[in-house]
Amino acid sequence: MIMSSACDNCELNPNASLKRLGESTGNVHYTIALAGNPNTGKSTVFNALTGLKQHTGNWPGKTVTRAEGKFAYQDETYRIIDLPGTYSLLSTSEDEEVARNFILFGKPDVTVVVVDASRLERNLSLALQILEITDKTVLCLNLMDEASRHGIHIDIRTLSKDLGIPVVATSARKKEGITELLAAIRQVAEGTFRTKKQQYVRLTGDTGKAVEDISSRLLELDPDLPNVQWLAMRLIEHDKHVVAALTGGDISPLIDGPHSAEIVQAAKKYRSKIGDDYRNKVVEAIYAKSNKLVSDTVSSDSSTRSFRIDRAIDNVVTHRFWGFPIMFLLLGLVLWITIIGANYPSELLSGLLLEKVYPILKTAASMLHFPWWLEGFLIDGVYLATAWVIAVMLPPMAIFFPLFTLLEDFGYLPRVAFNLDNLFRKAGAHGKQALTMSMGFGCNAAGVVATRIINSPREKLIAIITNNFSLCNGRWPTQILIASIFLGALVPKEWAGTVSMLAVVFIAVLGIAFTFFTSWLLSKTLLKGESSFFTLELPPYRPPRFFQTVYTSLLDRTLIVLWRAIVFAAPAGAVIWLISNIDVNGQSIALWMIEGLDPIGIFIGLNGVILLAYVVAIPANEIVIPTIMMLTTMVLGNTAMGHGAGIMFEAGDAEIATLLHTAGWTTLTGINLMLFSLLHNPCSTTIYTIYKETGSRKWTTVATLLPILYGVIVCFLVAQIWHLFS
Amino acid sequence: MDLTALHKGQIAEIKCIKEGCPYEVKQRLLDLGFVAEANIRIQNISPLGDPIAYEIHRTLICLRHDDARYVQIEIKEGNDNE
Repeated sequence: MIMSSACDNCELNPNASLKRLGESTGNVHYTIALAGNPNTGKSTVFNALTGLKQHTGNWPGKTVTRAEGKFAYQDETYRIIDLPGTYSLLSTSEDEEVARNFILFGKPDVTVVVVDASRLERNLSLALQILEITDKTVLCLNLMDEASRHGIHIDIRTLSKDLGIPVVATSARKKEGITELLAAIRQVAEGTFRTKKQQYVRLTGDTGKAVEDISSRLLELDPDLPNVQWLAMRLIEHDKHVVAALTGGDISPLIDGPHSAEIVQAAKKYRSKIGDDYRNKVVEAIYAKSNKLVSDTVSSDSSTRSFRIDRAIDNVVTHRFWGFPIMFLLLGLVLWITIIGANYPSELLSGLLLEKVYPILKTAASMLHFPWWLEGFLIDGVYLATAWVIAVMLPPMAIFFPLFTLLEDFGYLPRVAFNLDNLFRKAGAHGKQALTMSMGFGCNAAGVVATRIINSPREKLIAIITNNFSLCNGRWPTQILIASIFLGALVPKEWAGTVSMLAVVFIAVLGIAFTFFTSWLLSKTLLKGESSFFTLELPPYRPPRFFQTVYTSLLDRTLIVLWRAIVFAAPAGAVIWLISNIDVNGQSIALWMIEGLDPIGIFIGLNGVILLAYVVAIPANEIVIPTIMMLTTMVLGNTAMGHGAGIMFEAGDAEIATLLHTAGWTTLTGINLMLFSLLHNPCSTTIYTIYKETGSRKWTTVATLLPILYGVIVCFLVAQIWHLFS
Repeated sequence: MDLTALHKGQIAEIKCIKEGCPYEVKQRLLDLGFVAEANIRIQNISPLGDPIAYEIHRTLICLRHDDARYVQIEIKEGNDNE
């Protein structure tokens, strides 16, 4: 979020000459690469410069794809590329390849390395690797506010002198230091700050000799190579891209085919001679240098209060006894606030959209002499379904996502992954699935998007396919309503509330059980494999920024998901209205379908109305209950309730209970509806999201059909057992 | 001894990544700074005993038992009574 104040437009403020251009096109003078470890606030720096809104959060690995933006500063236009956050540039993971190749071959005019000032030792390792490639670099010491809170002092001038590049202290989330960062970027881009190339990483022994030999061979052919030690290191590592670039003459026009082949050969010899030890030595040298730099420039006191607070929180939330109860309590609290808190705004919205706007539209339509079918189609069909989805979907999402994002911002969610990883490991899945699963309780589509933080493709797919077993916001109201009508009614009044709440909790826990079971099943069958290497960094706790979090999570998650739901709800409303109003052989298509589906429905302890409702209400789980009610009144021919064929309506719990009992619903129907509500296909928004994330029809189909299969089997078994005992 | 033998309250120095460690795992461990001479200690143990969060290079990194066994260490100080 960009805060604007009077200062932003003041001439005396150099920041005033920053123009955030977002994604606009136009001539670009300089290209800037933004690199850094995961979770250093890289995306926040990117957003501060470009005015774009990359989602940020206290969770390593937020930037998954490369983001690009533009800004103008003092008459020059800059293009800035946000590279994936990596710990290193030495390995073969996709993220590292993207970052490494861009810095080496994309030839950015300036590379800004964003580091976490409070964790400099780890972060400098990456900075040193980048400096080996290019000295046209600015070191951005971000999260300075966190560092000073932790009592860490950094001698910025000495660090800048030691590295030979500008070092700028920033607190990007507070917009502090951005002006200084811009000035430094400009100085390096224009060459007014002469960065000093030096040998940062000193290798010794066999490794040192090997790198030195390859370097001198390269320098013999082209004495002006800027990053010869890095090239030599990569050649010995046999980096495919570097080898190809060298032999292709892309690294230097002076180095041609035969010469380069000779060097590549020599490098290969060294590699087989030194073997595995080579990488050890390189990384050791990098960390030795970064330790030295830190001990020369950083003073800190690890006994400061904030350090102790972090440790104390960790000791409690990952405690052997308290870890799990706290986790369930927090998730439960978030859900409880969501469900209770959403009632009031939901009522307001439905009062406005269904009771105020709807009659106005009807009157307007009749004044304009709409034919009955057009009025019905547009207002009773399309408008009503859309209005319903907005009224029941918006409030819970607008409460759940900000609350969830606050936990994420604070840094608690990685601890949940830490606590639950053992269970996911046993199921052959990834610990970070704990986050995507929790997110699914809010919205499955958002949960599916969140699986991007899982690097391993196999484990990401498992997380995507199983996300639907997290009971989403759209299904809680159905569960609560049916539980109180059919189960709460079985016990004395004073116990009704407790019993129905326990039943709903049971369904949610059953969903979690299905998540683990399905993960395990998939990793034994379709997605065979051991769970891959798991590492997770637990970031320091950061005080969440309340208003900013609420604002961005509303934009990022709530509105996007809501928009997708509306896009699907409108046509579904049209379909529901059409099948209820088009007659074939004397009765509506809906009735024909209900009659056709009834035998299957009864067979699995449900009925035709429920099955049809789940078919037509695929856009959003929220419209299942209104659709069921509408279809039931139509089947009963009950004109006392409802507003006519194909028109959803609202009713109190008692009215709904009477209606459903009249239609022949039993306790079994209620129980099985609750089960089927958990175990059925994802809503169309989620299916679409799964397709976008996997890019595969096959996996989208599996994710769609598997839960239905479960639902049919489970409902059938429950119905059989029920009939056996009654 | 390897990292799985480390107890809470002890500080150890990393010696090397053991032979037989899969290439990908070794790469990632090195990238995360599991290099010779680095100091390491246990910060938190997950409620189910695995994974464990280690403090190394002033950050907390969690490793599963299966991966931690590839890290060769030597205890420097501390006792395991904590």
